[in-house]
Order: sequence, then structure tokens, then C-alpha cells
Amino acid sequence: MGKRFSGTKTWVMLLALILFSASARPDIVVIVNAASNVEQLSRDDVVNIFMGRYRKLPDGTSVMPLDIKGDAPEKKDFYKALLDKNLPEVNAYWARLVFSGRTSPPLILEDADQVLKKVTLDPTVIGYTTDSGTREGVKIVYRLPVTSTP
Amino acid sequence: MLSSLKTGLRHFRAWRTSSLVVDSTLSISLLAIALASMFALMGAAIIRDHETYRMLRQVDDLLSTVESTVQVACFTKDLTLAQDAAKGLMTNRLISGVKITAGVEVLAVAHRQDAPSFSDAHSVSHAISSPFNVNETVGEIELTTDNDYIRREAFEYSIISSIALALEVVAIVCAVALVMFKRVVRPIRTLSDRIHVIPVDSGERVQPPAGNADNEIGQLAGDFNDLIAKTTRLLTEEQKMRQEIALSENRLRTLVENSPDIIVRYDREFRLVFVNGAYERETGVAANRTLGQYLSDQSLWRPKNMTSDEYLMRLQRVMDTGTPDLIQLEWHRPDGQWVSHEMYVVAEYDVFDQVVGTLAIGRDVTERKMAERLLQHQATYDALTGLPNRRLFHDRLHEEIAKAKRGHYPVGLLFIDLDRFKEVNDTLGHTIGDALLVEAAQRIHAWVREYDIVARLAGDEFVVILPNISETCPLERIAGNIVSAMAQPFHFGEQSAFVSASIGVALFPQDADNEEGLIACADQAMYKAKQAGRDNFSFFTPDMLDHAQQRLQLINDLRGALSKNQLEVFFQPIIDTASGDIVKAEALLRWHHTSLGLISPDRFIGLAEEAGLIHDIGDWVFRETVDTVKRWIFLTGQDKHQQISVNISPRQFVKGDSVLKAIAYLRSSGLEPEHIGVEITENILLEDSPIVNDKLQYLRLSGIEISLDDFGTGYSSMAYLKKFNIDYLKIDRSFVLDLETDLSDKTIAEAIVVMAHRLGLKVIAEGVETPGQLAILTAVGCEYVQGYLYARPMPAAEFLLYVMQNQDQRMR
Repeated sequence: MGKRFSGTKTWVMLLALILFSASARPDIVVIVNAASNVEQLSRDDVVNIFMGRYRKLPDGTSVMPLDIKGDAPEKKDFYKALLDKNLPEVNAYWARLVFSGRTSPPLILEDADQVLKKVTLDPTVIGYTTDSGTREGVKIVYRLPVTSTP
Repeated sequence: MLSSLKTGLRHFRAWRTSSLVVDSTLSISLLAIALASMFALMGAAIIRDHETYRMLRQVDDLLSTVESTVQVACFTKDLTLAQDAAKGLMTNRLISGVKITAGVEVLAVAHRQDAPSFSDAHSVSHAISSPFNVNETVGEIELTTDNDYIRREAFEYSIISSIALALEVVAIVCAVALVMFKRVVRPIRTLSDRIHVIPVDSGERVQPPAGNADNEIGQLAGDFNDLIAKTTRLLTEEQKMRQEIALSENRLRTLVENSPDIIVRYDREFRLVFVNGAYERETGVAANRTLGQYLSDQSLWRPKNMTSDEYLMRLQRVMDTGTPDLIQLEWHRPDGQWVSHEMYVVAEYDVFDQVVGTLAIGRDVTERKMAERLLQHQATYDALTGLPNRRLFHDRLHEEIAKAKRGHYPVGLLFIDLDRFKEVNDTLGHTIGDALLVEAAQRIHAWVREYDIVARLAGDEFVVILPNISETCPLERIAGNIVSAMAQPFHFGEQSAFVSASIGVALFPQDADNEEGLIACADQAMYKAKQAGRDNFSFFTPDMLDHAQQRLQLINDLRGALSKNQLEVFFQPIIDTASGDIVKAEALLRWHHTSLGLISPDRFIGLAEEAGLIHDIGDWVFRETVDTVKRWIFLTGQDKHQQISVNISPRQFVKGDSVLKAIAYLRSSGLEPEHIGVEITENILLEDSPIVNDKLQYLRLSGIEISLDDFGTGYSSMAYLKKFNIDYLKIDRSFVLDLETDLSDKTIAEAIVVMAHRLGLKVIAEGVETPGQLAILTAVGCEYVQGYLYARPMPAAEFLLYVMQNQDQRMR
């Protein structure tokens, strides 16, 4: 009797969870200026550019990653989806590199809108935002589906 | 702590190094240290290996700590970061070199200055993955470890660990030793010290050391006390027993030492192992000289009657059979005294019943032996002459004949009788007689060979056994020499005596083949020599044997003669010379032998005496005589003083009760005693023995008159006549026979009559046959005569008839 009850309960909870997340969290998309020659990036490309390995696009043009200040939900979701790391981890990573002074972290902007604006304006940057409809002036080069809540 | 250690050390020194507890403590310590060292050595290797492994693991760990940094550095090809990481790694002493590469690009290289040679180095390459993608390799880190250091470190560590382990072990051992010392050694030591000072038999109890009353040490003290108590009890008992044994032994020793008996102990090899005081005294050999010596040692052997070998064999037999033995040993004591000991020998056994030797106990039997010898000598030797007596003579003759039978040689036997010796004895006295016998023995000895045996049988009878007669020394010469020697006068101071010898000679085996026969033959031959006139010797001849057999036959016949009425009393009248009346008669015995006819008393009285028949015959004669006298008186009247005399043999006087019986019979018959007379011979008087004297006196007192028969033939001693109060003398017929022709006989007869009258005796002459003889006798004053001139001896009836006729003639 107890078993049947618990089994049923678990099943209901899982279903609710799936429905909620799918609806609550939109995908994170990596965007560049629409004028960029780059149409599509690999996941590695995204990691390498954002995590400071190199700052060039596959066509050889330099690019500057943009990040959001603080711990905005988009930021959390981005790193989570890309690296499967939370923000303190990402900060710790950068702390080492900043100390050596050889590589700099992405350029920090105030919020997601500013990122979007910067990308729209500057073809040498690359940023990320939530997939909230079509935006003018930007090109989605990589899509990061958000599959789980933080 | 320190003070207790000091005390411990002092105690330790005080102890002998062989102390069990100290020894075991030391042993444990040494063993523990040895084991610790061994474990340390073995442990060092293990520790070293383990440490090496651990340090290598540390390198891995080290690497993992910097891995994220290196990842980042490689990812971003950040030289600074990589060098930081490399520098950080180099701070660890294990690392001698670091090389971080990202692809072909070398990000950081670091090397220790004092790095060892590469051969000792060990490099580990590690791929560095991307910090964001483990599958992507973004670089490589190469770490070089300083193996020499690692080894050194591990070695040092292992050494230190081992030393620590060893020290720990030593410390534990010391702790154990200390505890052992405090809890075990010291209490035991204390207990031991206390036990040491307790005298065993004091009964004191040992107290366990403080705090140890209830543990094993306390128990040990208790056990010790029990043991001491038991030991004390046992000791007391044993001491008591020992004292008793000592006392007992002392008593025994005193007993043995003071025993008058000799006590000697021999071992199985016949060594003297013990002798007592008596032994020393009797043999004159000191105990220390004898002990351990062999019995066969001739310097110790004293006995003369037995060799040491014989004695030894007897002892051996005692040991073999277990039967005690009695051994006679005789020797001379140191003081020269001859001693005889009876050694009672028994076997001695040990507790396992094995014979260990013999014990001899010797009793001094010298006195008994001497007495025995004396007795034996007395029993077998004649005291007077020192010659073997009859008994020994028989033994020796038996032996000699036995030897002769085996050796087939002849044995001669001489029977020597001294003629007229009795007369010498009577006239010169017994002292001279004895001296003569001694002298005679010497003379006999002088004429026989050394190995001939001379013996004295009785009185004047000697015998000589002559074994192994040879041609060169014939018997007749020896016998002849002895006869000659005996014929020589014997001188005793002033006195001289003359005897002669009659010798009978018999020879084994030709005369007889046994000793009795030989003796009889020699005896017969000797009689023959006597009959042949004495002073000579005679060989036995077979007819002598016949004569002897006749004698034996006659004695046998005589035995039945009385009951068969073959004996008869004859009476010969005796006439008064003055009146011519028959006033007396002599009773004479006759034997009517069935085949030999009438036998005279001369022939058979001797035999009767020899056969002991004389008493019965004599008594019978006396009774017959009494009856005849009564009839005579009845026939002729009372007033005639009729008297019949009876001959009484010396034998009847010496032995038996014939005289008493005769007197008793006379009294019972009612006859007046003066009608009976007794005729005796001089020999009776010569006996001069109390018995004979008493009987003669008794006859006299009874009123019986006594005649001395055969006067003149013997000694004719006047002294006896006076002494015994004789009534009548009877002159022997030998004087009367030649009275008419021989002047000297007439003189003797006359002298006898005169002398008799002087002494108040009356005289009767015997054997008067002629009127001439009667005339002479009447002339010299002889009162009575008897003989054929008047009448022969007659049977009683004839005699009575004769006396009646005679009376009638007289009356007419």
C-alpha cells in the first residue's frame, strides 16, 4: 500500500518538474554582430573564446567576449550550460589568470541588455543572452539549451 | 625510583651470578634485545619500501593539488601560472624537476640545482586535460622525482623507526625486569635469606615477605614450612633410629668382641674380612695383620689337624649347599697351649639372597677334647703299663686281619700268660706285682718289632699282634726270646721275683680266618704250653681245637646235668685217729655223664665256675649234705658230733648269695650248725676282700666250722690262719703220698701239725691209703684222717650203711 503510494507520488513530482523547467527557462544563445562572417560556432570555440584561451573567431578575426556583471540568471545559466560550472568556480578560474596578468577575463557589462546592445553595435565582440525572440542586429552562432534548474 | 634501583643493584651484586631469577631476567633481556634488533632490521627494509612508496604517492598527491592550476595554465598557455605551479612543485624536496608543456609550447621548466644524475632520476609524465573538458588534452606535465633523496629519506626514517622500536623494547624489558625484580626476585631473595638463617631442626617457621602472604611466594613459604616440619620430624625419627642402631651395633660389637668364641668372617674369595678379639687371642695374629688376607696364606694358618686347602673346600661346600658345617681345628696357642676349636661354619647371604661368604664361630672345646682323649685313652689303654687294653687290642687285631686279608700276608698272635704271678702279688704285695707287670711289658716290647702291637688283656695276660710275619723273623724266635726274657729274675730294690711265661702262638690265616677264632687258638695253645710245664711256648694245633670243643660240649652238658639228676653227692668218711670212729665226712660231687661216664670234680668244677653254674650246684650240694647229716644222726644217735663238710668255691664267696642261702637253709632244717662244716681254699683268704671276710665271719658266727683245704700246696700263710679263725687244717694228699719215703714231707707234715696245734687248730690228713701213713700221722698228732685206707667216697645211702656197720663193729 505504502509502496504504491510512494511510487505514484515520485512519478507526479517528476512530471511536474519537467513541465515547469521547460516552460520557465529559455535557452541561452551566443550571439555576434549580424555583420560577422561567422555563422556558426562549435561548443569548443565558445569555451575557448569565453575562457580566455584565444580571442579569435574561426575566420581569424579577433573577438572580445562579453559577460554580465554579478550573478545574473542568464550568467548562471550560461556557464552552467556551457561548462557545467557555477559562478564561484568560474570566478576562481579567472582569479588565477588575472593574477598572472597574461589573459584577461571577458569584458563585464552591467546587464544582459547592455550585452545585447554592445553586440548589436560592435562586430568584434561576442556575447550571450536568453533566447527571447528574434533580435535585430545580432546573429545566433551557438545555442545552449538550458535543461536543468540551477 | 633511583634509591630502589640502587638497592636492587646492591641486592643484585650480593647475589651469585648463577641466581636463577637474575639469569632468567638477563636471558629475557638479551633475547628481547636480539629479537628487537632482528625486527628492527627486518622492519627497516619494510619501512624503507613503504616509505618510498608513500613518497611516490605523495608526488601523485602533490601533482593533483596543482593539477587544476596546471590545467588552467595549459589551457590558457599562461607561462606565469605554469611557472608558479612549477615553482610550487619544486618546493617539495621530492621533486627534482618539473616541465610543463602545452602542445609544443613549453610553459615552464624547473630543475633543482643539486639534482642527481639522470640515471637516478625518475620522470613521470602526466597528461593535463582541459579544465572544462576532461577528454581534451591541453598539455603535459613531466615531474622528475629525486629517487636518491627518497631512498635516503626512507632509509633514515627506517633507521630512526628501528632505533625507536629497539629502544621501546629495551624500555619494556627494563620495565619487565624491574617489575620482576620488585615483585618476584626480591621477595624470593628475602624468602631465601630468611630460610637461610633458619636452623633445620629448630622448628622455627619462615614468614613470607610483606605483601606476599597470599600469593605464590606465600604459598612457597608455606610449602617450605611444611617441608621443614616434615623434614624435622623425619630427621628426629632418623636420628633416633640412628642412635638405636648405633646402640644396637655397639651392643653387638661388644658381644662379638667379648665373645669367648672365635668369630671369623670370610668373603667369597676366602679373604678374612672380620676377626674378633678371641681370634687374635687364640691365634696370636693381630686383626690388622689378618684382615684382607687370604685364608690360604700359610703364615696365618695355625691348625695342625687340617690343611688350609681342606678347610677351604669345606667352606666352599657350605657356600654351595647352604648347609652349616662343624669343623674341628686344633693348633698351638701363642702361649704353647694346645687348643681344639669346633668351628661352626654357616653361609652368609646379602639382601638378595646371594652368598657373600661364610661366618665361622669357633668354640674352644679343648677341655672336652682332652677329656675325651683321656677317656678314650683310659678306655683303650691299660693305665698301669700304658699298653692297649683288651678293647683296643680287639680293634687293632680286627684292623690287622683286614689289612692282612687285602695284602695276603700272615698275622701272628702271641698269648702270653705269666706263670705264678699271683703268688708274687700275694707274697710281695701289689706294688711289686704292678712293677713286675710294667717290667714284663717292657721286656715283651724289647723283643718284638716296632710295628708289632703289644696289649695287656687282664691281670698277667699279654698279647702280641705280629703283622706280616716273615721268614727272617720267625714267630718261634720271637716267642722264644720272650720266654727267655721272662725267665730272668725281676729285681725291685732288695726284692727279687721270679715268674715265667707260657705263650700260645696262633697264625692267621692258617689257624683261623677271623679274630675270635685266632684269639681262641692262641688261648688254647697257651693252655697247652701251661700244661706242658710252663716257661715255654706252644703253637696251636688242630687237636687243641678239638679239646676246646670238648670243653664247650661239656659245659653245655653240665648245664642240664642238675635237672637230669646226673649229679650226685658222695661222702667220704673222716676217722678220728684216737678212737677210730667215723666222726666226720667230706661231701664230694660226682657227675654221671651219659656218654663219658663218671666225671671227677677236677674236670668239671672249673667248667661250672666258668659257666656260672657253680652257684646252683653248690647250693644243691649243701642241701643234700644237710639232709644226709640229719639221716646220719637219726641212724646213729645225736651224741657223736657227726659233721659233714661241704666245699665252697671261691666264686660262691665272691659273687652271689650262696653262703646266705646255705645258712638260711641250715636254720630252717632244724639241724644244729656244728654238724656242718665248710671247706675253703687258701685263695679265698688271699682275696682279703671285705665281702669274703664278712661271709666267712657270718659262717663262723652261725656256728659252722671252717676247714682250710689243700694246705701246704699254696702259700700256707700262718697269718691268715690266725686272722680268720680257722678250725681245721687239711694236709694235702701230696704230702701224705710220700710220707713214708720222703723225709722232708714227713717233716713238713709234722711241722704243720705242730704249728696248727699251736694255733689251736685241728688237723685232718687227706689221701691216707696205707697203715704206715696212718701210723706216722698218728704219731705226729694228727687228729683226723681221710682216705682209701678206710673208705672211698660213697653215695649217701652207701655211706649211711657204712657208718652204721662201722658203729655196729665198734659196739661189738
